[in-house]
Amino acid sequence: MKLRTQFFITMLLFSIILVVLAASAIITTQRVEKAAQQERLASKIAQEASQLSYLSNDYLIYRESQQLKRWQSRFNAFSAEVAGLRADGPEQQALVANIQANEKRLKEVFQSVASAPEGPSRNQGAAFDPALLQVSWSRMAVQNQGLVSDASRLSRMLHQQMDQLTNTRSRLMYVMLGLFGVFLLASYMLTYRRILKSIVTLRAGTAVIGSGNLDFIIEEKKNDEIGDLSRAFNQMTINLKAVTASKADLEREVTERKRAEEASREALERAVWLARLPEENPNPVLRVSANGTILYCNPASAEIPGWGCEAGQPIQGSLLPLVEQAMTEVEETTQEMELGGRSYSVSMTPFPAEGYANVYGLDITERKKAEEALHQRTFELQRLTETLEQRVQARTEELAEVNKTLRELSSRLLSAQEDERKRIAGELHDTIGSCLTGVKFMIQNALQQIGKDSNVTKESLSSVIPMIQEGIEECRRMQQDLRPSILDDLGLLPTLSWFCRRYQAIYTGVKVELEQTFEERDIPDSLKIVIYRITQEGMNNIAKHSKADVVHLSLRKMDGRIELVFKDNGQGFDLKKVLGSESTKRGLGLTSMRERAELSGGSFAIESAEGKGTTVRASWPF
Amino acid sequence: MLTVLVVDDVQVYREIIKTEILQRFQSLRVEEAPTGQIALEKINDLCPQVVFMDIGLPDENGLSLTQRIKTEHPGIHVAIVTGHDLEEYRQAAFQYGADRFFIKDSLNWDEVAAFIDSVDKP
Repeated sequence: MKLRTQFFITMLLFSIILVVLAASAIITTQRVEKAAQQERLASKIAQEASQLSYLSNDYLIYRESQQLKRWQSRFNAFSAEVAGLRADGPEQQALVANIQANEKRLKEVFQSVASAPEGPSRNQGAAFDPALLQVSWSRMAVQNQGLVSDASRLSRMLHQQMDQLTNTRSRLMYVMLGLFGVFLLASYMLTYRRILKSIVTLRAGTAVIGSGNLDFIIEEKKNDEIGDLSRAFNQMTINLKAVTASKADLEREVTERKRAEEASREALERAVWLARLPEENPNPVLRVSANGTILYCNPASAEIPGWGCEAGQPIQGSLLPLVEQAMTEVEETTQEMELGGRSYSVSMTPFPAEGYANVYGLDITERKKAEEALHQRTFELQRLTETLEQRVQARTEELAEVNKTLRELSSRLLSAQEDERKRIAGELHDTIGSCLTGVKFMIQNALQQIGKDSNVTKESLSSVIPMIQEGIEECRRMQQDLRPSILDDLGLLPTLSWFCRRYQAIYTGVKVELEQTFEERDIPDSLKIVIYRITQEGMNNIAKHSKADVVHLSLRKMDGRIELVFKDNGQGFDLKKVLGSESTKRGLGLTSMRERAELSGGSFAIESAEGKGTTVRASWPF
Repeated sequence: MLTVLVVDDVQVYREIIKTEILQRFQSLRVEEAPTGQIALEKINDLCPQVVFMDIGLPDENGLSLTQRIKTEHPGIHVAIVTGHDLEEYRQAAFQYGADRFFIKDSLNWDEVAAFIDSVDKP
């Protein structure tokens, strides 16, 4: 609906309501006035009825014509007023009818009184017969009283009606004012909201379009003036977009033209830039005609010694055959050559159709030197590799030899262990075994003699004791050989002291000088048996091989180490010869001493020379 | 009554010593200990006046044990009895506080008896 139509309808409705309410008010007002008039009339009728009552009384009393006329005159006016009464409701109509009926009866009563003959007592001062007078007066009084009563009642009713109408008129005025206000408010709200909402939508759309979004379409649902405005705006946007698109095409074309110009300029610059390429090339670049005339030469080919090219001049003699060959064979040729004391790789690229060939020279002097150095380095590397392989092979052979030695030593160790067992078994058989056999024989012999000669038996048994004692000593000797209990009971220092004394007792030609500068507690328990076994082995070797008569044995502290040294004054031996011989040919003694020292964390060394004795040195960290 | 303790891990040696002593001293009480630990317990329990001590015990060195006994019970007389007739052993025995030194293989029982007598009748 158009806003104009809405306004029109609103105003029409407003006018109708206003007219209706105004008419109602006017009609009510008229009815009020009419009721007031009727009320006044009724009051007057009541008064007139009273006046008529007075007049009729006077007339009945005095019976004068003047009074009659006055009554009649007044009654006529009264009749006119009664005739003027208008009744609205049935009650009022009934009252009006009563008043009119009473009026008629009053007239009839008065006329009947007026037409009655005068009484005999007229002259006595009485107009009528008293009886008649009494009756007439009563009748008239009744009528008058009814008239006054009805008129008064009608007057009250009319007054009430007037009040009601006045109230109704007031209510109508209030209703009219209320409706007017409500109507104005509703009309304002509807119109305001509708217009404002549409304007807000339109304003938001214009903001979007104003920001450059020409594809935006404003909502145009309403069919009012703002909807028309939105449609007009959308149409304007479409037109603007069409105009703008044309401008974009124009700008695009301008941009493409600029880009083409830029590309053209860049291509030109690039061509110029590329044209500088041979100029800036530090290597010789030439273009030579088929007959060897230089068509172009870059600065490098003019300046580098050995080339000396110049445009228009013939190419150097040594290069000419290459040009001819390339032009003849129609294929690129490359050749290394010496020019000006340096090496160059010269390439010829022929273009027979054009009648020229391009010549490119590359200085390869440094590269050739590097190649030669690399070749030399490779050669050295090969030589080193061969050496290394030889050393690896030698080490492998040594390792194999060591393995072989180890196997042999292991074998010999097993063999030695077996020999030792064999020796112990032999000793058991020869000493304790034979001793026990002898004891057994002697006891058996003594037993056979029991009873024959008691003295002989006692002697026989007594002779067993030295044999048993010998067995005990042999047993103890073997025990000491296997593991000297003195080492466990008393320690290393008493053991070495005992060992040297026993050694000298066995090998009487050898003097042992023992030097011990250690405290027993300074030597770890685990090291004691190692030191003892090395000493035992070394001293036995000296006894067996050195032919020495003095051995100096020392156990001392030296440079933070425990050092065991035994030095003899024997014949010595060629250390290299002995150590260099196959391990199988060496005794186990040296090897076992070294093994014992090194396995216990120590080191072992031996010094000897033929005729100069031998010194064996073993040491351990202190 | 005098109490004698024989400390040796070999039963035969203990028996020999015990028998020989009892043959000479009927009123003696002879106790045996096969290890150093048992020896110490018996010393604490029985308070022997004489101890015959071997050196090679399974749990302890007889010389160290002797030194300990002499330190803790100076009144006890200890005689080392060993099979090793070596000077080193003899010297060590007296260094560790032993009162006497006997060789097992050549025990002179009269000397042993004299040693016990010297304790019984000082």
